[in-house]
Amino acid sequence: MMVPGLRPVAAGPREEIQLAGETTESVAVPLRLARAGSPSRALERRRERRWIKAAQSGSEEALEHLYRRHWSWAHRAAYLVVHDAAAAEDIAQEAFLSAIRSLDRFDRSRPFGPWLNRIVVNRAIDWARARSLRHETGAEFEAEAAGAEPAAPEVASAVYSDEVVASLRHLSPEHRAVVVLRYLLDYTPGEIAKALDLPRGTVNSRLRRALDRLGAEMEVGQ
Amino acid sequence: MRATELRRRLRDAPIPEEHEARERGWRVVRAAYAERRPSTARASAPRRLAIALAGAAIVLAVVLTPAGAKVVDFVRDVVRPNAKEAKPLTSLPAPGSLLVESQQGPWVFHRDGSQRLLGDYRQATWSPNGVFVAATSAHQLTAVEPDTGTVHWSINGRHPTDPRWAPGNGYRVAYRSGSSMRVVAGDGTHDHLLDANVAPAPPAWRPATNCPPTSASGPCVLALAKPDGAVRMVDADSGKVLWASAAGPVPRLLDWSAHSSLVAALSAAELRVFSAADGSLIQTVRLPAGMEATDGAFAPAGKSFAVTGTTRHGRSKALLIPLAAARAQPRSLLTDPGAFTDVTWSPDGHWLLIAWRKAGAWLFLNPEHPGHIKTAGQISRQFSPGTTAPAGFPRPAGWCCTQAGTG
Repeated sequence: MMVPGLRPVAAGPREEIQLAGETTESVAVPLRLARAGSPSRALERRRERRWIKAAQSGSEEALEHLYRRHWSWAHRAAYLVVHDAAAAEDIAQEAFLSAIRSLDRFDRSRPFGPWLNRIVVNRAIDWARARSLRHETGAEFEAEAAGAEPAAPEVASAVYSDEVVASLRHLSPEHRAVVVLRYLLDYTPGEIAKALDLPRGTVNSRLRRALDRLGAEMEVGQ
Repeated sequence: MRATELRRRLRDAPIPEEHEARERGWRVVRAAYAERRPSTARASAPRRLAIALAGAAIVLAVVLTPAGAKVVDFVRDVVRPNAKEAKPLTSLPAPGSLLVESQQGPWVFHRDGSQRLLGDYRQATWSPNGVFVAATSAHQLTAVEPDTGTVHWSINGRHPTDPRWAPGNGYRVAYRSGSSMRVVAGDGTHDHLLDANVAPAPPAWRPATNCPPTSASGPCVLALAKPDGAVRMVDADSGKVLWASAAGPVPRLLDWSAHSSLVAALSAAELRVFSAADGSLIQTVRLPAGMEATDGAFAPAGKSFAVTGTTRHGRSKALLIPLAAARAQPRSLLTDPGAFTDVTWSPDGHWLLIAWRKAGAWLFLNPEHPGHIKTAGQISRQFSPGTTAPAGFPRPAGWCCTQAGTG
């Protein structure tokens, strides 16, 4: 069942979402949520390019701006895909460490966030797949650790204060990822296709199925 | 629910320890950034051309002059003069994940460049399929999940060292505790003494072993070294000694060939090769004069054995010994100043990872094309981020899943 009001491929203009202005704190929204071509977005892009350039030259302050600008989104995206706080923290950290290792080669004309988020989401999918594989292959586990009590999935005991987040965990990692990219990070289906290296049709169908499942789960939960 | 509502709820959903995670993350990122060396300006085009011409001249000189191996060694030193400045490890040249022991603890390094510190442990080894890592601390042997660091089980013991997880079903983990060899079940139960007096060398499980044994696999067999240099083959369940070699130089490590037909015992100056079936000594390969072995490993396929070691003149060598030959002659792969401390095969057998402490670098070398070397530098910084004290040199402790998980 489709979640009322949700369409996987939004054709209309994006919702107006408050831009955080000058702040670099974690409450800032993703840069891409500003309207394309808007003065705010252009300003943010220029500022980010300056930070990247300065960070490449050794400015820790600039790096901190970049970090605080993007950490929360990367961390949140990872968490919503893996539903494991420790793993999400690791994934976001590793993505930033990757960024630092590649900083010298980073093309400043390209936005930093999508590049970072691509790493985060793909790594989160891999992690979640590995996790689910581990739970599904009990025989393999038993063979490797005879008689041990399987660790209960962390998600099973977690208490979610938001039913949407709780319902998300019933989706596959691939479906969670497209929901997160579309509705948390506000990617277009075309951008999701590029980030996940998928055909656009696959993205659309995953979005559709994900939203159907999400709606069904929320209905059950009510 | 409308799209705006879904967006809002995804953005507002509480994340456990969100603030703490952000600050922890910043400390790690800042430390890694502080260790990073900003890139220097690239050489101008004419300068790059001059460098290229000079390089070509050196290569031609080596090819066309009869100076032989000495020149080659010299050139190898020259062509890697900046190993200390080489980029950190960002990927692996072959599939798999690398377990790295560092002063901070063991890391898992994945092929895509991501790495994870498992915790405050000393040594670590993969389980057969890389699903777990067995790690030691001062008084504990612990099984942890490599993706999350989640502790699966732990047992208390006196200074557990050199853990080795049995291949196949992975039902046993052998480890040393002081001068004794002990075995514990793969779920942390049935910890028991196997031999009260062993040499300080890691044990080696037979690759095709299943523990507990099946009718097809035969007994659950472990090779261990005795203080007099003898090698013993032991049934890990019954403790029965299947065979014992004569005394000899005390082995630094033991290893099995891929198809379990040979057992090698590497000591400081020689490699003894035994028949796994009855323990008869097949051959003894003496290392080049003055060379002292630091590490060695059988290739994941075939019967080649790689050895690293130091020479009298403060240099290091990496050798490949083809044990399929009746009289194996070591083949030199690499010579460099300083110490090669560790060697590890990639799971596909195409690459050798050699730890080069003096340069703070790791060298990835294809034995079929020894001149083709990939260098990763700043290894201490990479695996000890945030530390200011000189860090011990990180050592590769297994490229999952070589040698059926024994690393």
